[in-house]
Amino acid sequence: MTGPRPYALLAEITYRCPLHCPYCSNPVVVLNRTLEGEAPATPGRVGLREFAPPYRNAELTTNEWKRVIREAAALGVLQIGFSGGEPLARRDLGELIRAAREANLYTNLITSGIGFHHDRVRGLRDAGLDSIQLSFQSDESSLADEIAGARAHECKLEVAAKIREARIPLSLNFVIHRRNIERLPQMIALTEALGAERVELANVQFYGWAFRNRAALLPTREQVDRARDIATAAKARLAGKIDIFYVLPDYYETRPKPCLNGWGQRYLTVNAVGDVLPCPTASSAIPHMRFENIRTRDLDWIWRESESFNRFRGTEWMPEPCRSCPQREIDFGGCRCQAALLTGHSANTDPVCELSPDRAVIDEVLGNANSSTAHFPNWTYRTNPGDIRNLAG
Amino acid sequence: MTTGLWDRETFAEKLRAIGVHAYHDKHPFHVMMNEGQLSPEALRGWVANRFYYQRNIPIKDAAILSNCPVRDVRRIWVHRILDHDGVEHPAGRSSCDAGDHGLAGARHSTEGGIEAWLRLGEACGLSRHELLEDRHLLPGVRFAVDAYVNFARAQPWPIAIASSLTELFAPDLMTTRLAAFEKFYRWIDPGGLDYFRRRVRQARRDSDEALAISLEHCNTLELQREAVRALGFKCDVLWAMLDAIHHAYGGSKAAAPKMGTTTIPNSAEPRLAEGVRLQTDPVTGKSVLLYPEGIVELNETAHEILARCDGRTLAEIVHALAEEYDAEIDALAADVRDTLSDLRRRKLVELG
Repeated sequence: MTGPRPYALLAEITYRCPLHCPYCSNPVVVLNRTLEGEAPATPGRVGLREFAPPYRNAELTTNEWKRVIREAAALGVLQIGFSGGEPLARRDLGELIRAAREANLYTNLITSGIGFHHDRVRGLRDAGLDSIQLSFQSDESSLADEIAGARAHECKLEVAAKIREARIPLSLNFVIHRRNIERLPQMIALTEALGAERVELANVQFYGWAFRNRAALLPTREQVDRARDIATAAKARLAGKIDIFYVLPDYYETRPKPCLNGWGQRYLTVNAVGDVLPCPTASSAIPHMRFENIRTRDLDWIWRESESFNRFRGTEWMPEPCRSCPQREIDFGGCRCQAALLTGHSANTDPVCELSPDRAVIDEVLGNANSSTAHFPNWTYRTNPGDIRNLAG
Repeated sequence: MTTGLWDRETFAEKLRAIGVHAYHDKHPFHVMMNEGQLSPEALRGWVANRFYYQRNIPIKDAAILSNCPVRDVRRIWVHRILDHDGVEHPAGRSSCDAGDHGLAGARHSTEGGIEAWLRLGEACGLSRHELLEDRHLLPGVRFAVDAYVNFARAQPWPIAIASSLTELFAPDLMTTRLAAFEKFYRWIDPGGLDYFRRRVRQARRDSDEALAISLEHCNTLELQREAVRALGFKCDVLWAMLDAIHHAYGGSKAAAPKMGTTTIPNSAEPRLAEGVRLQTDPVTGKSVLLYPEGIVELNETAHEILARCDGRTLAEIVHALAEEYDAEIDALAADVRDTLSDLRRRKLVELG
């Protein structure tokens, strides 16, 4: 086969979620499509709220997802992550996991844990679920529930125990930001207490809702430095017991992250309404780009032929300073979404790079975050796509 | 020459001759390092102690500058300090053509060698606090490094410059070390190896410049002799550091079994860890391990071993492989242990 092949598919099977985390990477406004599709066999309720019909109907159906899974496996995908929104909000999750296993994919569930009743955990395990990543907002209820905008923390603790009981490998994920970064040691302690095998301590990345709430979320340099020391020490102490992944806050770096290992090289995302994206945040960050939909094209064509996937493949598209940079095959010019969000042009060098002519944009944001006089606004909670009209109106 | 001076070739030859036996690439600890023999403990010990050397280099170079009245030499020498400390405001914002000339790597980066070494430390599991506080610093290493800095302060500047010529002896040492780290010490996050990558470029340039300065400015026989002696002194500094580290950490894997490097007993029944699947990649036909959010492509050896991790003991696996491939059993056993230890460290294999 010539050209790159995808290894992992992120399936954002719904944008519905019972939590309202202000750093959610979901699009702030989901286009209220009028795509035709069958209504799901059962309404989208798992102890969750009801959502407005037009949106729900636009979500891909079970059969459409099964087709996506088969086509992804044929393209070379080996791993699938079921995400969202909250993937448990879809009743057919077990059926989709089974389909993924039949296609020989390794299956991950990326979940808040809300709505994960005991029999459902076992049901998904029996369907062939390989591993679960459970999100936490902090280490204890009061702050965690405040961040989630819902009473969720205690429920998550119970869910973690159920997952362990079902002997499904468990990873925890903490999104780290200004309000909870001081709790890193306690988060690590919670990971140990819950018997998880892995923990991701991920500094918030500024896309979707997080971009809107950046001023409230961006930590100070001092916080970031201390967190890094704590994570490093914990990594050494827990080596061989718990794998700790500390995701750096890229605004504080001088070189950009090698986003996705290159555009259209290893990963692809299919979102709730069937758009196929090189990166989960691309549809909202790069609004002028036209993304193909699974309802009109097959995955193979989209991966190989579509304009969106080919737009930033390789190094030909790069402007200076990336084009002649010895790092261009290492960081691939950074993140296209970040370039679009911060410089207005998705083809620009990621402004995190110290060589970017737009680095001043980042420095200004950092200046505010580290200023003692700046005003730090409250964040805006994520709202569900069902409430779209309120938002857009 | 009527002055009794050695000609340039003779002088250069005498300088190079010092390294043949005295340069630290021949030290047993260094040999073990490049052969992949060091335990994680020993490697961390080396990284932590060598950091004291790294952080003193700019002080040493500043001492040389402060003694040197020749502007052209200072202009060349000052970049060593910038290379090591990093630059606050990089000059070349409009282009990142770091090229192969001049200040490649330094002019365009705010991160210097010291920061890169701190990152190496982090990649090995040492926090920057530990390094900056000299928590693991051995007395022998401290004395050796301090002696070097004092030497640079007290000696005539051409002599001090000659003492820094040690990289002349092994222009490929960094490349070898980088390859060794990538091959043998895969528990170290490869992102942490940037220091070595930088030095691959910088070391040759630095030693070329220092040699040119020494040849030109050691312009009496006495200075030439002193320069040769100074280089011998510097070799002793490096050697003494490794003696101290070797003494404290031993070095070999067998001597310091820690952190999952313990030898896997013959009776162990290795198996894939929970949540790990072995399957064939339909695109390449190669076998891969799939685990939460990760994929490892296996080489043939690893595949052959894992395919036999089906409840058999290590001894049985080795025996089966030896029979099938008609291989020598001791070497094979070592390979199998190495492969399984590596996978175990990555939590892909567990022992039953």
